[in-house]
Amino acid sequence: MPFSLDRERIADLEDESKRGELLLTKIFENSENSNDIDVELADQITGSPAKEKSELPKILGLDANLSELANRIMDRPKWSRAELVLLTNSLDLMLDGALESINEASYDILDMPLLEGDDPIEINPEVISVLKS
Amino acid sequence: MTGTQSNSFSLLDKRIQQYIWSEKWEALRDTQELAIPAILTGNIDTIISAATAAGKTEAAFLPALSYLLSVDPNGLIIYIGPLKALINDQFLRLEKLCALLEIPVWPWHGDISSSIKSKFRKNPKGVLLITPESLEATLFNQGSSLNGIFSRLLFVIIDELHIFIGSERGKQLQSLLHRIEVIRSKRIIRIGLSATLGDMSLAAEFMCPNRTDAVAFIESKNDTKDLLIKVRGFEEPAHTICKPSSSLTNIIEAVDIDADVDVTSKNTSKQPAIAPAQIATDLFDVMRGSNNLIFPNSRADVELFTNKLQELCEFNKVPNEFWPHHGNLSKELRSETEEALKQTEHPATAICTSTLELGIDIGSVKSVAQIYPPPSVASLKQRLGRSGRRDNEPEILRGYVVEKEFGNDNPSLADDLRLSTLEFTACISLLIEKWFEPPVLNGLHLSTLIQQILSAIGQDGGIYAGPLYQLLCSNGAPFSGITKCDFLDLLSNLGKKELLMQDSSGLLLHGRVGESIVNHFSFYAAFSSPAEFRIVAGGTTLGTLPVKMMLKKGQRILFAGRTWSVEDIDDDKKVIFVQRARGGVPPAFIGGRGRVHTKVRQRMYELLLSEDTPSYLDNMAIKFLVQARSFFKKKELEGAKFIDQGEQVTLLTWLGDNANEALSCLLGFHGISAIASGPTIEVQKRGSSVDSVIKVLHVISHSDLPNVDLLLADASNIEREKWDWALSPGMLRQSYASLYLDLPEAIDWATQVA
Amino acid sequence: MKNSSVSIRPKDRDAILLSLRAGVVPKAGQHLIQVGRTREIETLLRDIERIADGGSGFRLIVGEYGAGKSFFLNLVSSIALEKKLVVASADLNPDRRLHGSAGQARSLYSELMRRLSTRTKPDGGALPGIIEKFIATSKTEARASEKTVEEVIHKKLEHLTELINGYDFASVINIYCRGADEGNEQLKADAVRWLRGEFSTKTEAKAALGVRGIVDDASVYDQLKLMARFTQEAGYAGMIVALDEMVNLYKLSNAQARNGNYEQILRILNDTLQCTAIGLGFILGGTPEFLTDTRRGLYSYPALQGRLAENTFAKDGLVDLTGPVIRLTSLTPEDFYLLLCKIRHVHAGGDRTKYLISDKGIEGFMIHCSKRIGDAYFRTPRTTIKYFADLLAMLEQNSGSSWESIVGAVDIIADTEISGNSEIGDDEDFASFKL
Repeated sequence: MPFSLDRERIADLEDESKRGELLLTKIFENSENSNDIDVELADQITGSPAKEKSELPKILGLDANLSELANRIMDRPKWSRAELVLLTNSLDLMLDGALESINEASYDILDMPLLEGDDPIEINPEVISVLKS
Repeated sequence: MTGTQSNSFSLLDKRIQQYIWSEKWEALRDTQELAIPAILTGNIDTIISAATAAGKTEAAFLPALSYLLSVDPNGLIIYIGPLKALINDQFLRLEKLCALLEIPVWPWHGDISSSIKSKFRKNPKGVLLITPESLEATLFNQGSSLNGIFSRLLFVIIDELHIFIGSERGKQLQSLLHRIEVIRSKRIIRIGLSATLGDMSLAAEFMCPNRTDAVAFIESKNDTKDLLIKVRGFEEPAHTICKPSSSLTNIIEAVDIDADVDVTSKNTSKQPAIAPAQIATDLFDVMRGSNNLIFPNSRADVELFTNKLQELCEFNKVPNEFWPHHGNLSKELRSETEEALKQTEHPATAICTSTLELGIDIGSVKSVAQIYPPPSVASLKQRLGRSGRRDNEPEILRGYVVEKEFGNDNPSLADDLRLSTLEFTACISLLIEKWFEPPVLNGLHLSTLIQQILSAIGQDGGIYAGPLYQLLCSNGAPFSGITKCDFLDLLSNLGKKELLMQDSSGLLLHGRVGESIVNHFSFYAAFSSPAEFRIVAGGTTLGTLPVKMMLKKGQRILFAGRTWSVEDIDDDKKVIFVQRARGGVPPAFIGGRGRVHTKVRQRMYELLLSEDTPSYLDNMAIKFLVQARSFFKKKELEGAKFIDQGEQVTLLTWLGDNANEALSCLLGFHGISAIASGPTIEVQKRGSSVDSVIKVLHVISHSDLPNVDLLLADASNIEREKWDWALSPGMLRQSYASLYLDLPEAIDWATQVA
Repeated sequence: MKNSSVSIRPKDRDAILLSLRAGVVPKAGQHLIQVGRTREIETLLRDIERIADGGSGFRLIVGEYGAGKSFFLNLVSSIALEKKLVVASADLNPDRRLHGSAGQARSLYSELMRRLSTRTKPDGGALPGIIEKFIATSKTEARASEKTVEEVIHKKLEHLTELINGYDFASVINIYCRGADEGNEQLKADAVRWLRGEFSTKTEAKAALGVRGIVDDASVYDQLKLMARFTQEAGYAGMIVALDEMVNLYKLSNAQARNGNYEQILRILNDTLQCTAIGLGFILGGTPEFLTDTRRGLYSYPALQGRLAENTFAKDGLVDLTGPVIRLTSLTPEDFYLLLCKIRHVHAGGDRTKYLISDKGIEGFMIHCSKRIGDAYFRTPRTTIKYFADLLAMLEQNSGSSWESIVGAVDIIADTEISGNSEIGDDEDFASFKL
């Protein structure tokens, strides 16, 4: 039997798929928001980590506590889990929950997580570069 | 331990040595001495054969347990036994030793509670004592956790190995072991415990197919068992009629079966048979006060003898000790019997048709009685083996034969040659030589294959045709004789019968009928109680009869002392429609027998030629033997190939039923009406001469074999095994031919004659 | 074939290609290779939004082997995660069912809980994080409303005690909190074990945590409802339970066992229709026979047949999306063609200039496959896709070569469900055997 693709059907499918693509892209990628984010972030980029807690600007829309944690974490590219546990405890936070919240926020705004891995935990350099730019 | 310290003893675990000391054993038996080093290697298959049960058990368990303790204390040993009662026995034997070693022992069969079973599954270690049926149930129901259960399996010990060889149950066992090995992806080391056999290679081939070279044989040199045998003969006076006495008695009396008496015979009055009553009296005398087994060969006879024995108990005002058991017993009678056999306070004797009825279970017995010749030497051996299981106890066999008084009018060849006595004697002499019927090498075992297919589907929750074939029929698998083509045909047929179905991806699952069958407890047994045929004349049921030979319309059979011609056969409902056959010599075809092997028939022939009188025959039996020999001489039957008997020609083949049936099928194919009849073949001349029959034999010996379908075209009663009903007619014929027709032997004989 | 020119993140690209080359269904990035089925996706999206709003849902995705059920289920799970729901997914097998009496249901539940996922932890193991988020959220609320953390937690857990077995659940959460406060890792670990249904006896649970009950076969569904509620209290939108390989129920050889499971499905379906299971959605994947076989499928259970019956007018291309059943039609060659185009696009990182094979080349590849294995190449496409992905990888290595020269090195066999047993499994007669 000769092989032949139904061109019309392909065209119909493409149209249908386009709609689907749009739908899914909206769900999975928040690229429309990227411009606004840049402006916001520019205001939020933290400077030296030595500033007092109350003066540190909020980062990624996180509350004070979590912001402080995020800032402290971004000081180093890599942390062992044990070290992070100490850090979070000192801020009266629990590690897994805190990581979850930070990454959620990062996803919401930048579409990617700030912190990756279980042990060691690494900072996502792409996020840093976005925050810096 | 006295004397020189045995080497093997010192190889055992210290705690086991301790146990042996505390049990005050004098020395290890030779089987134990030899078995211990072999089994302690942990990778040698071993067969231990000895006459006594105890010697074998310890020979296997002492080193197996020792190995477990040293190599893997959480390991598992599986012991497979054929009966619940025997497993319970074994449990009692092992309990003490294993408690000492802190090894758990798990008896496992239908009576064991499910909480104990789940306890085992959670921690599958120690010694598992199990029947093949329970093992089948485990594989079927625990499919996904099987890897865990068998992961630490060290040995499989198979008891009573000799009774598994060649049977459906044996095939099932081979398949179960194979399936377990597939689950583990590793071979299991097997230890077989067997009675002494003439040809031990049969046992090795069964236990380790294709690996017989690597099997270690350990046979006892001086471990003998006393065997006490007595065969009593009873003479039936000339003018009596043998009637089966069951609840159907009234029906027979109502029918005037003497209505059309042959005018050539004298019109003498018929009396009821007296031999059964005499046999019953003898049994009553010797069987009371102990546990025994009595084996007549048919259900009707089970009921007949039970009635007589129970009557005798009543008459003598003693408590009843005799209980009937067969496949068709009413529920009340069956449970009554099972209760009576289970309890241990009062003696009980069971009268039954087979040792393996589902549900019947009795431990070791003192003696075994066989009424009329046994179905085969193997079954005689198996039945006899139920006695004398403890050390120092002999195996005791009481045989009973009945022959008609010499000189009665219209005798059959069977009467004149005292074939019953000959057959029984031949069986016993072969038993003493440790011979038994070898398994058919090319048997397809399709019935058991069907059961295994259904079980594999249950185990895996569905399976595809390819892997199913690989599992059961590839090289090294238990059903490797089946071709791919035949396998797919079989599957298609199972689909037609709704045993199997397929989902859209091709996965094989249980069909509607299959599902209801596998969910019933009887599924796990690969064998079934053989059904008996109902004999019906003129719309009235005359009685039932087990028939192991093929049936053909027009053949003549002997039943209730009369000759009948078979008008029709209903295979499904198991009914034979008959009509009185007038004239001619009564056939030797009696029914109620098993299938006899050529070796037995040859031995019968040899007995006719010899002058020896075996010591185990009583005077009456000896008298029968002498009468047979003198008839044989008088008629110059030595070397004779046929006897012309007017309307029939009797071919004296002295071959087994497989060869005789094959030959009668060949004759049938060439237009001659022939039916196998004991050691002979009965041929209807129908106008032609003896010479023309000889000519046909000549043709047969020089022709190619006809197709099996043509050979068996008009044969009935060729369903034999539990699942044969599910085979297509073509496969059924193939299966039957492979197991029950010995064409080479038949052609051989034809060549000699022609 | 025109694809959008949005660039594709290297991470997503790698994840998809890795899965495809391994022959497994991608767990992330499915949206990049989704072909057609837009209306089905819209329907599921509405389901998810409804659940996120506090409603409930039940869908049975039905399709032949090879139609892309698992892919679709994974896509829907990914969407749910994006929408801030928690997803628990598991495959049924002979030991993991919705109903049982020997631990089979509990076994399924444990698997679901082990594989609990959130957007930040899409590969399972999210349970401890969810609990900690619950606590963190409570702390935040406490600070905002000037209550103590204990008061907030207590109030939230009270909502749980309204549900069946809620009391024990709440106790265990409290125990976790206590463990966190005291730095008692053992206590935290045991609490998580309890929530995952990993305690098999009440005695063990009592000894470890002091609670009286455990999750057992009978309480699995109620426990799922509790967990869904809990995730909402933790700040998530709700929970989706995705169960694949429902055909395992169909394969059970015991009618009683099957019916026990079907009854459970009926219960779940009824709760959904009556909106009694809040913030909880079920999406199941199974074969058509699992649904329609009147002797052993869902239709064999009378009450289910009524509720799941598909619109009789929905035939010949008209798709019925109103009932709980969504049928995925098998792929056509055209579907497959577009799928390969998308894979090509992903491989090129979304850059059309980097396409390694032309449209004509893709057609040629399809012809090549059809010659080798017939229709199977698009009906059961998993291995064909794998080989296409391998082909692209090789084209990348050997830049300048044409696909024709390389494709010979890639041996295509038909995708079968038979694993292992290559000697006989590959045998055509067996593979195509029909009763």
